[in-house]
Amino acid sequence: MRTPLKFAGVALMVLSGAISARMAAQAPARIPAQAMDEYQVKAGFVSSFPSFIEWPPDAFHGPGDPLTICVLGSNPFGTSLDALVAGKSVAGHNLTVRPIPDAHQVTGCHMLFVSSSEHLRLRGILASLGEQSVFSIGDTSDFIAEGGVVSLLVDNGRVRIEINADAARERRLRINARLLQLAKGVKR
Amino acid sequence: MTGQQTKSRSRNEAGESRAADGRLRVLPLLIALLLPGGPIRAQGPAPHALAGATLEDLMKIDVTSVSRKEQSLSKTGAAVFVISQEDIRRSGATRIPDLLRMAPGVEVARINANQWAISIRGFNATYSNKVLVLIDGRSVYTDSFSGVYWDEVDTPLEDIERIEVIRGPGGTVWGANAVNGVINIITKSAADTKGGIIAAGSGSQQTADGLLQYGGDVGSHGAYRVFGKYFNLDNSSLPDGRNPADGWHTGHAGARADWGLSQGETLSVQGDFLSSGGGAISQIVTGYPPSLAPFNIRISDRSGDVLARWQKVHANGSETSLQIYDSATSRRDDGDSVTENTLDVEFGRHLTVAARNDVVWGLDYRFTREEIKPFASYGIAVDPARRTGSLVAAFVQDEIRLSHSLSLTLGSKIEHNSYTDFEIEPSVQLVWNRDARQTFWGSASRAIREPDFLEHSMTFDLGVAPIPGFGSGKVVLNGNPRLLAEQLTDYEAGYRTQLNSRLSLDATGYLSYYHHLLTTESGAPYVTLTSIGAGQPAPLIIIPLLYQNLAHAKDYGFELFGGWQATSRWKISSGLTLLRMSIGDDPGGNDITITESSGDSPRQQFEVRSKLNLPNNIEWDSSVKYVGALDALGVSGYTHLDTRLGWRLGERTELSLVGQNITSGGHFEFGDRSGLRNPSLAARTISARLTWHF
Repeated sequence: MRTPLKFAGVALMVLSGAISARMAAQAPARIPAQAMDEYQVKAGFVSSFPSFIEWPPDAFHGPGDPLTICVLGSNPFGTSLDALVAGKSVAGHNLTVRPIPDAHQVTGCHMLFVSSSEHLRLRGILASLGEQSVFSIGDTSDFIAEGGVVSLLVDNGRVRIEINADAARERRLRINARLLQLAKGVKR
Repeated sequence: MTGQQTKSRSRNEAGESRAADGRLRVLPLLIALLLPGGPIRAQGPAPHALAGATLEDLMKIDVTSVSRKEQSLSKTGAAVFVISQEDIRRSGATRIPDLLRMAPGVEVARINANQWAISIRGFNATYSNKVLVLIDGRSVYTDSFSGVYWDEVDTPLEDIERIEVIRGPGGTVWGANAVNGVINIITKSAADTKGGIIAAGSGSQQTADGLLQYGGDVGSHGAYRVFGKYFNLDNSSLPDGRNPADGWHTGHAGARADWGLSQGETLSVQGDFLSSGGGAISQIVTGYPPSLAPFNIRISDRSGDVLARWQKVHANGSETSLQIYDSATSRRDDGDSVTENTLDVEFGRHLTVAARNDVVWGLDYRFTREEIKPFASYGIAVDPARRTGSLVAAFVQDEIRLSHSLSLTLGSKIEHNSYTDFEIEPSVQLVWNRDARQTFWGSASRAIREPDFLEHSMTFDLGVAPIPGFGSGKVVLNGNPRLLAEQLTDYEAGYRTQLNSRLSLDATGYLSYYHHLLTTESGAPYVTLTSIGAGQPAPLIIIPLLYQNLAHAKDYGFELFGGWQATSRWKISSGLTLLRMSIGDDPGGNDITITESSGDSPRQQFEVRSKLNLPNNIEWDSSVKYVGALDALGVSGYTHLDTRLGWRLGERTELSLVGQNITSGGHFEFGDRSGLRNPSLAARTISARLTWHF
C-alpha cells in the first residue's frame, strides 16, 4: 500500500510544480509577483477612484475644498489608505481620509467606504444617504443590489470592480468611461 | 460571554495595528526590488507600495484574504490553528470530523461509518473526554458521559466562517473539560449568506447529501437564513466480509437571524433540530460462563437547540455581551435511553483599564437535567436515574502590556459544580512580539475535567463466571460519588514567524502533568448466596470494581506547522505532530487499562497539503497524511491520501469531484477499548458534489 502512494505523491509534486512554474512565467513583470493583502489592494482602488469621478459643483464649497474619503465602521485598511492619499490631490482638491462613527455624519463626505462590519445595517445606511452626491464603496456581495455605487469584490484571487451606474446618475456623479470599461458588472 | 469572538479578541486587539504597521514597513522594500523602475525615493515617509499603480495594475494583483481574526490569533500566547471557509471548501470533506484532520495536533480516527474518536494531544477514546467542542458558543460536550456525539455536529459546511482549534488547556476562559484543547465552530452572520444555495452530492459511502438554504433581509437592519439538509451513509465493511450495519442518516433543519440594532450593537438568534438514525455493532457479555458476543444495535437521536446572543461595542471601545441557550438531546442506543437538557446563560465584558490593561471578565450559569434509563438486561443500572446539576462560574483575565512588544496575561476561572464543588483554573501567558514577523510565547496553566453522571451513579454487572472448586464469581463496576476532578498542569512554549511574504512557521512544545486520572480499581471481594438457574443456592463471590482517581501522566510533545505560498496560485502547507505519553498508577492504584491507553494515540503524525489554482477556474487540491500506529489497539500506521478537483462553472455553480483515502483498500483507524463499538474498515471513497448559488 505504501509504494503506489509514494509514486502518487511524487507525481503530484512534479506535476503541480511544472504547472505553477509555467503560470509564474506568464505573469507580467510590473505587478508584484507575490500576493498582497486584500485591503492593501482595495486601498489602492479607493485612493485611485477620485481621478475617475466628477462631482457636481455644489459638492464642494470652493476650489480649495478637500475631497473627503469617509470610512464608516471598523477600518479594514490599517494605515494603508492614509498612506496612499497623503499628499495627493485631484483637480485641486487635496484628498483626506475621515473615519465616521455613524451614517448621519456623512455631510462633507465625497466618498464613503462602508466597512463590512456594518453589513447588517447596510440597507439603512444607504437609504440615509438619500440623493446626496456621495460615491459609496462597499465590499459585501449585496452592496450594488442594495443601492451602493461601487463594490470591490474578491473573485478568483483578484479584486473586481462592479458599478451601479443608475445609483451614480441619481447622485449626479459622472464616472469616467475608462473606469466603466474596467468594471465587470455594470448595472445601468 | 458571547462565545469565543470576544474572548479571543480580548487577547489581541492590540496586535492588529502592529501587524499592519509591520507589513507596511516591509512591503515597499520588496516591491522596490521587484519593480523595474529601481528603488523607491528615500526622502520623506516611505510611499505606499501601490502608490502610482494604475487601476489596470491593481486588477492584476493576486490578493490574499486573511481575516482580521486570523491576524490577531497569530499573536496569541496559545497554540491556535484556524480552518478557514476556503480550507473547508477546498478540503472536499463533507463531514466536520474529516475537516479536523487538517489541524496539526488533532487526532481524528474513524471508528465506523458514523463514529469518530477525536482528541488533541493524546487520551483518544470512543468518547474522548478532554476536548471541549463549541458551535457558536454553545457547548456540544455532553456532561452526562463526558464526550461529544460527533454525529450531532452537523453544521452546513457552507455556513461555517471558521473553525478555531486551540491545542492545550483553555480552562481559564472556557472552564471545565477544556483540558487538552477547544474546538470552536463559528458560523457566518446571516448578512453574509443572503441568497439561496442548492447543493447535492453522491458518493460511494455518502450515497446522498443535500442542502437547501435561503437567506434574505429582515427589514432594513437585519438578515436571516433557513436551511434543511440531509445525508445518508451506506454501510462500510469488515475484513471477514460481514456487514457492520453502520449506515447512518441525518435530517437537519436550522435557522439564524442577525440584527444590527444600533451602531455596534447586534442581536443574533439561531436554532437547530436534528433527527438521526443508524446502527453499529456492539458487544455484550452473555452466557454462563460469560463470553463476549457481538450484536447489531440500532441508534436513534433527536437533538435541538435555541441560542440568542446580544453584543454591544460601546463608543469607548469596550464590549458587553449576553448569551443564552437551551439545548436538548434524546438518544436511544439500542435499549438504553439518554436524555439531557442544558440551559446556559453567559455574560461578558471586555474593556481597557488604564491604557495598559486589556481586561475580559465573565459570569456563567449552567443548569443541566439528565436522565439515563439503561436497558435492564445489559446489567447496567443508574440510581437515581435522574439528576439535575448546576454550574456557576466567574472568570477574569487581564492582558498587561509591559512594553511595546511584551505582554503578560494573567487570569483564572473559579467555578462551582455539583460533583466536586469549587475548582480553579488559573493561567499565565507571556507573549513577546519580537518584531512584526516573529512572536515568542510561553504559558503555564491548570485545567480540570469534571466527573460525569455515569462515573458518579452507575452500577454495571460485568458478568458471572465460574470459579473452579468454589462456585461462581460476579464482577460489578460501581460509580463513585466521591470522585475528584481530573487535573492538568501544563507548560507550553511556542514560536511563530512569517519568514517572508511566502513562508510561515508555527512551532509549539509542551509538557503536561496530569493528576487524579480516572481509574477502575478492584475492591475487596465478598461472598453472597445466590441461585443460578434452577439449581441450589450456591455461594457467589462478588468482585467489586470502583471508579477512582489513582493514575497520573506525564506527556510531552511538539507540533510544527508550515505554510508556503510557492507561487501566487500554489500553496503548500505541512504539519508534524509528535506525542509521547507515559501514564502510571498512583500508589494503591492498579489499573492496567489506563497505563496501556498511552498507546491509543499516535506517537507521530505528518501531513502535506497542496492547494493549486489551475487555469479555467479549476482547482486541484490534495493532501497526504501519515498517522502512526496505535500500539495498544493493534492498529498499524496508515497513510490517507485525499484529492479534489473543483471546477467553477460561471459565478454561481461549482462542481467538485473528491477521492478520499484513495490509496487504501481498507484499514482500521481505531480499536475500541470499551467494547461499545466494533470498528469497521475505512476504505476508499469517491464522490461528486454540485453547488448552485442563486
